[in-house]
Amino acid sequence: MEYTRKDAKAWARENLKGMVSGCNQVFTHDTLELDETALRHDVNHLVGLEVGGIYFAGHVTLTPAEWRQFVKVGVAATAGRTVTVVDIHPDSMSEFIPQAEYAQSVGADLLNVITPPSFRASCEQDVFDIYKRLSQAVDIGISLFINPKAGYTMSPQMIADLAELDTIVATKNSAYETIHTLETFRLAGHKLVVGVPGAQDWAVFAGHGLQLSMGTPHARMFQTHEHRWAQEYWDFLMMHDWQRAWQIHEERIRPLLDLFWRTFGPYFHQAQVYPLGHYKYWEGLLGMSGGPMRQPMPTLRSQDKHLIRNSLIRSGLITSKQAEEAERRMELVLA
Amino acid sequence: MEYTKKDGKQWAREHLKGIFGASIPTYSGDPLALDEKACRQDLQRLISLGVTGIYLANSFNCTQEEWRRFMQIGVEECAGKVVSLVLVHPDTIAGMFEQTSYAEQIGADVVNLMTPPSFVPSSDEDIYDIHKKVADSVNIGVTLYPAPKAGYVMSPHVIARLAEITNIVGSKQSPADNVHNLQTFRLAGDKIVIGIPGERDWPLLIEYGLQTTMGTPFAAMFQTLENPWLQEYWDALQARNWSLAMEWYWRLAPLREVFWRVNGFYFSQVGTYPFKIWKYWMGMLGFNHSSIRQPVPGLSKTEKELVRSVLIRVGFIDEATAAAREPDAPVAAKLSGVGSK
Repeated sequence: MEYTRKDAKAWARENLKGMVSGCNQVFTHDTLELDETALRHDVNHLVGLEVGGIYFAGHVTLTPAEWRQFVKVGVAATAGRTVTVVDIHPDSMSEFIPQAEYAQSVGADLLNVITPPSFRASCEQDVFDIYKRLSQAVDIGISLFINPKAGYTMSPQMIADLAELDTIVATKNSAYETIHTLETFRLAGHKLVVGVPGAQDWAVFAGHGLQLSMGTPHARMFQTHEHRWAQEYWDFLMMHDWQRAWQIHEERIRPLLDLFWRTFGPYFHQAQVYPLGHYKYWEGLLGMSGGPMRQPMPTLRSQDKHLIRNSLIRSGLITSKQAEEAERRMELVLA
Repeated sequence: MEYTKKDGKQWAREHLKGIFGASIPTYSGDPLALDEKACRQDLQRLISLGVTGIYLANSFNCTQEEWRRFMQIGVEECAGKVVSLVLVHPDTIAGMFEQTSYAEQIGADVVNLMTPPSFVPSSDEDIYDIHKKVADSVNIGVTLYPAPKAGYVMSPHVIARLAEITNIVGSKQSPADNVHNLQTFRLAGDKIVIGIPGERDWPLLIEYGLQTTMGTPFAAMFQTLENPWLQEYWDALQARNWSLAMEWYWRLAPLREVFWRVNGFYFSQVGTYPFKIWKYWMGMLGFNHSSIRQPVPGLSKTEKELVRSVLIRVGFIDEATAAAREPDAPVAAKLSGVGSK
């Protein structure tokens, strides 16, 4: 990281801009080990898309050692070409601060933090205390991950209170509640950078000071090097060019959002799980590595593949030939 | 209506304000028939909640004659007290012209127009033309109704074009899409009154000039005479008192959660309104219960329990009142005096 504790907020305001794209680990097809080469390929792919940052999200099936390897390789591969954010969401409290320390030690720019499943808050003060403790343990800036999967949803007032701490500099607002995010902008938007991941919400908050899409899947799923639709949509919104933003939303983004929610909605809402195999297949078609995920993970069925592939072709994001080549590439790796 | 065709827009800006409750007819007897006395009671109860207008919605499972009768009763009850907004969403294109003209004839203040299921547009131009034709055929103010149940969602651009027509004065926004809502405010908000029925979206849209809900079920479901929560929430928003508005927003959360739990599936998967659930909910809050003619889904034991328990939990009713207001409660319990809340 390039800033000191006291400069963290100014650094965040200056540097946390645009779409910070999610990036997941990649496994080898045969032994399901971490595939460092493929991860580097994905980082280069995202850097080539000129994203505002890369958000490294380690899945729960990684061992502590693998998690460290994933973060280290990811940050090193980025090599300062864009901002690096490391997702901290370990299984246990014992790994909570060590993971944060490790991410800082390998040179990450920022942490995005959610408490482990074993953390149970009996009151808001417990939530405040755990984040405060973390912010005192490390110097690196912290983004609060507001998501019901924590087992609680941090209130906008709590976010505003935490935003008083010098290294709490951003949020990733995945509360699935528009008014929660609106209130976060009102109460804390001047103290930290409120990040809104989903493209479905960008237009809603573009008039409220939005400058960051933190850990978004849509930077890698709604564009290719050839067709930079997500970026164009984002840029029009940032310019408050509502007319052109609406046009690209209707022509390009809405059909992809429909596909996204059709594919992932049931998993988010009912199973409360991220079907990373589905993500991998989708992004694999668009030029990233793709590949298998470890269990437990919802199965990517052939009808899911058909829906994703055919919809992406129909949207014009890729051609049939590109889809075939991508599938062949993914299958070749398997062979 | 109290205005001329050319003054429609100005009248709308001055009168389409505040919370407009939605009223659906009450039926009783065997075979089911429109219960006029109960309809009037329900309308009066809604007015007593302080609404500024009533959305008269009767687009399903009724005869032409019943539709006319319900609208007449509704307009009579609203007259001189609140604005009457008549939903025109018949089965046929011809019916659309007839019903709009009838609403004007009986003195309704404004209509809300949705094309019939048989209308299938091939372009935006088709959508524009049909709405223009209906508006041109009458003097009464017409509000638009962009919602997926039309079979298409009228785009903000079409709304903005239609907003140029003299007596197109408003839009009841139900596209389930805030990007659409925002764009509509930007393109047409200065020409017509944009109404947002969904209370979840009010805090977002208040800053764009939101001045009315234009027909919301929540007026009857999220408040009682003693607990005017929705009105408090709306008033705090109108006063731009954000912290107070947010208090009310979160206070409504348990009701909101149950509303979407019991309605969400029917809205998104079936594409219909589970009016049996609405009638049960409103019945628990002192409106008349009503059987609804088939086909209308909903009201399982689980759905009833969800509704009943949340209304008790938030303090709108107590156990005794809930028991007395069950549709199949013994008459003695209904007359025992409980349930006055």
